[in-house]
Amino acid sequence: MQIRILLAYFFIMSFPIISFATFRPVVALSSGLAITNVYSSTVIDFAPFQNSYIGRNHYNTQFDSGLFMGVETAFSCNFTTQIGLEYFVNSSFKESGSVYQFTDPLFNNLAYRYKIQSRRISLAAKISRAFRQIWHPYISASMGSASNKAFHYTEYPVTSADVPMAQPFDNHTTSAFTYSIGIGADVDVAEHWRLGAGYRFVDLGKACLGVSPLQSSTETICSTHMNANEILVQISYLG
Amino acid sequence: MNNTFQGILWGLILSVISVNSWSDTPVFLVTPNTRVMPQLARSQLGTAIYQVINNSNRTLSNISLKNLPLGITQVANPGPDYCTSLTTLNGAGSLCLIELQINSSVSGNVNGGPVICAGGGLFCSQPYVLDQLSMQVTPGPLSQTCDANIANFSYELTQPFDSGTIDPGTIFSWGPARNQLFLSPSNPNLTGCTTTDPTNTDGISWMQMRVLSAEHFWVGQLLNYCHHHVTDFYTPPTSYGAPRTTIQPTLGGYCSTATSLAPANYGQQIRWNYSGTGSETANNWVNKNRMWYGVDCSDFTSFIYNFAFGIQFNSDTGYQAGQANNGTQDDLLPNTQTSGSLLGIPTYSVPANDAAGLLLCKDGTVETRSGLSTDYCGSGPSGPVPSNNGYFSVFLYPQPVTTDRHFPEPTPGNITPAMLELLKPGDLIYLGFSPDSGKHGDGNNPTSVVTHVITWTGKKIGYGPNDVNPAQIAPESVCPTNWQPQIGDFAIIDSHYQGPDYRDFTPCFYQNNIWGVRRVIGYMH
Repeated sequence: MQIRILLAYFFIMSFPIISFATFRPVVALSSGLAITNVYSSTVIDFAPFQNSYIGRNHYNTQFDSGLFMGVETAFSCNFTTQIGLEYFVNSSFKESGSVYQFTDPLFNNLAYRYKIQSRRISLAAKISRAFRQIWHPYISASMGSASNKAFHYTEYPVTSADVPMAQPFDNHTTSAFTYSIGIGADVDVAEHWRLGAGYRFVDLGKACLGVSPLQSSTETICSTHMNANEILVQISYLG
Repeated sequence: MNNTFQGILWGLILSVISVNSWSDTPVFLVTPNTRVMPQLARSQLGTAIYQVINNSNRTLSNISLKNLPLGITQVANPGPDYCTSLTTLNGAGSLCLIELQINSSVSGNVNGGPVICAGGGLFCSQPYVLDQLSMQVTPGPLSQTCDANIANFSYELTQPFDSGTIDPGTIFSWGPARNQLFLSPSNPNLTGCTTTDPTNTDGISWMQMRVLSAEHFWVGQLLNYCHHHVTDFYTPPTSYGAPRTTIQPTLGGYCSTATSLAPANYGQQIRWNYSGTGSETANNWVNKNRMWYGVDCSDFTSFIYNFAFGIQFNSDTGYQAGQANNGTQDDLLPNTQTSGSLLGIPTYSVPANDAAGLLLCKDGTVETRSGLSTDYCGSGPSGPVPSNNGYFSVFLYPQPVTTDRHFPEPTPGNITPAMLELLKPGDLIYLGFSPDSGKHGDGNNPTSVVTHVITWTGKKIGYGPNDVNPAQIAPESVCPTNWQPQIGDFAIIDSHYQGPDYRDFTPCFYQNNIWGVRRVIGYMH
């Protein structure tokens, strides 16, 4: 929550500067690796028995790519800011783990796996300072809405004698608040073009599977704390 | 890479990585009792029998066979150990047999399953991969010739093995008496393939090959040695008040409890040819009821002749050998018959009580039977009886004066290598030992001098196309120093030690103790 307040303060404080400035349109494409916490662990009730689902992965690494569209303006000597909207989507994260039937490790008969894809649209801002006219180290932040789809739940038998559940957990999309903060640097490579690289931390929110018709409850398997550490490269066009 | 294999590979990878102590216990342990024949012609019926155990240690409900492929159905079987309803499996540890019938015209090739589930499909298991249903369908039409159906037991396997009679019902039980089985009457009609004419070489040859095929099929089921009449009966945990592990080796319901196979120590699992993987583990043999299915030596031979031809004879070793079932001939040998005490021949008045065919003579012919008082081997049609030591036996008449009549003194030299060449596939060789003699072979028959019976295959141990590969030869406890298969030795089949198997016809045990030989093929119907 403190981070959200800081972000809001950051935007509010920027408005007077932006309102008197000259604007350049900016389009940026970003792509990189997202090391994301997808861990899941839960107990689900199938009265009269329960099963444990114990995740294996704390982190899974996939590509995260996005598009930024906005404007850039200078608001002080050597300082510029970019503000706009960004849309990011990742290649599917994969979470896997073990099913303990009856919550009994003796009946560790199945392994499970599902995928998560997060699509995010955010209000984003970047403040940079120019050095030697071509280097632009920056800090960035964004906040917005994530649509996290958990899908393709599949069970795999541990031995040839084991058989997956007849009706697996359904696909499900969870909406969540998302924000990011980052740091990096751009460099001018042509009159209108910049290349850059940076790091950012992204809170993706959570992703939950749907329920199975076999269960007697509404609990389901969730990756509850999907925090990503991302290394991105970006190319920007400034009009 | 097919989906099943890929799935299992993923499961293994994910599970090994995700848990420190990996363990696997299928909710239901499904193990084969009788496997489906691996190849059927279109329109033939396949039969598979599985034992299913509720392995969950919990009371389950809503148990069903899930997604049985089209053409496969569970069929009722009147045997005492079959599920009449799968609710039988609700209780923790409960078990029963299920019989599945496969209509190959509908099912096509079958690979996998059967899958059994509880909780509406939440907890599902199937046999381990090598135990799963596996059957290939060959294009029809099914050949109707005898030669094309030597190893076709499709019709036999559809018939219940167990009669309604429990033998006996009040003491340590041998379980159900065997049911009369019949050869296929149509598609194909095999009833004309058998013969009772010893000169009908085609018929004799067909029967010889069929009886070996039948024994080969049952050797492949990896049964134990048990005092049972049929293959699909297990000694209950408490057999008429006695824990089954306490049943003595001479009593009904006894199964070999050997956990270390002398002269073992060659790294085998509990059953000598268990792989150690899937269901073939010591734990499954001992703790999951597998060791409690099986037949003994003379129940194996009587079961086989019933299975292969519908031919019935006595399942008691001594009575099958021809001794009277009133105890008066328990020490009688072929060469010690007298005009007042003759070994029996089939009479068919009560077929299940008959002796098995006719006794064999030293020259490879069968005894001449023009009447009970004139049977003989080797001397003229008018006698004498006894028969001048003309029978195929290591026991001569008269025995040395010092010989205990309960333990006749063998003369191994009476059986020469040349005589072994006179034996025919399917001949039944009876071995003679005295009860309580303390000598090798003693033990399981509490009354008769005849304690064991084996089937002659006519094949030798070797690597040729008609040989028995040495890898198929089971260990032999009685000859601890030379049980190992010897290339060039004859191979026999018997139920002994840990059940029906191919074994080396060793001089120290089998060859040196031949009580007599009986020939069924061509001499019984």
